[in-house]
Amino acid sequence: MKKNISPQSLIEQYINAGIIMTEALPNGDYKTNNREAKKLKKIKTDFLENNLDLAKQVFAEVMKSENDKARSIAAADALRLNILIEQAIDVLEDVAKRADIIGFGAETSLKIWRGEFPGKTL
Amino acid sequence: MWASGGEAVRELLSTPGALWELSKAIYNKELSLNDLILALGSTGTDIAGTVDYILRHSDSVWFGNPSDKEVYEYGRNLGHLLQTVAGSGSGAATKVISKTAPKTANILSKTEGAGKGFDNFNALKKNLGPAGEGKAWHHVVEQSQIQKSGFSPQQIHNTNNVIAVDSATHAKISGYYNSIDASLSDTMRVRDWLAGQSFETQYQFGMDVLKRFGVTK
Repeated sequence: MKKNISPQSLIEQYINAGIIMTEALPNGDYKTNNREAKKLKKIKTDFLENNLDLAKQVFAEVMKSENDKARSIAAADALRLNILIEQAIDVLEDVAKRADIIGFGAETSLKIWRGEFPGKTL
Repeated sequence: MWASGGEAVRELLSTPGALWELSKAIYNKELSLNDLILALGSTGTDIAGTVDYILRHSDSVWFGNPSDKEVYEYGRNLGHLLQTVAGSGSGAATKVISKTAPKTANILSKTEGAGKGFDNFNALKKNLGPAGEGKAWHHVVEQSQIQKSGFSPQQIHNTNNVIAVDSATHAKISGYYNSIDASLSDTMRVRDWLAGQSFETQYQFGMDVLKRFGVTK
């Protein structure tokens, strides 16, 4: 049974995951990274995909946070749920300016969104 | 210029006239398969068995009453030969073919400069030599895509698809391909997400990753 959870807690979990992934992804630490990715997927499935008002509240805040990976994941997730489109694209365009693999992820999100990878959706 | 021999083989398969011309040249012994092996150099030695099979079975397949299995095996061997020539990017090999099968050679010639392809990574490494002190040979399009995307070994183990990368960075990039990058997909590892994309798309993706890990500028 799903527990009730506060928006603030979900926001913090997204940002924490972003912080951990920012360290793990460029270092090839896939086990740590994938553990966080699975946590975020569960959060979306359990709390956000069926509650778009809550999703908007959470993603809008995470996209304003300081961690670029958290921001870009929230933006990609917003696009996946077809919400907060303008803010999400602005965030991805901003993070895509980074030269590292975090920037690459944001750039690729935009390419997928724009249909540049045949058969792929975010 | 094509990026890979696989494209040449695909065009050949959709050009029956070229395939028939080549097969006729083989059957009539107009095409010197020994010259072809010599032109392919070390790769030619590796496919001597394939050539021998084609020579021994051409008569029964084209003018006998072959079983489905024989036709399948013959086609598989002929495809292997073509893929090797296309993957080699060898102008000398294409020239041998052009004497008796100009249509086929014309298609294969588009692969010249496309790099030299090998059946396996060990053969490629033997040809290239060591990557350098503290370095490893890194595949731009990953080896796993032979299985996942159906690319030929000659496309993957190709001089144009590897780059010497310092071992620590090579490990980080391999780790990235094993990661779920939530910016691309929320469930799939990068290498699984890439499966099914074209060779060219995956090559460009691989080059972009190398850039983002500071290997290239």
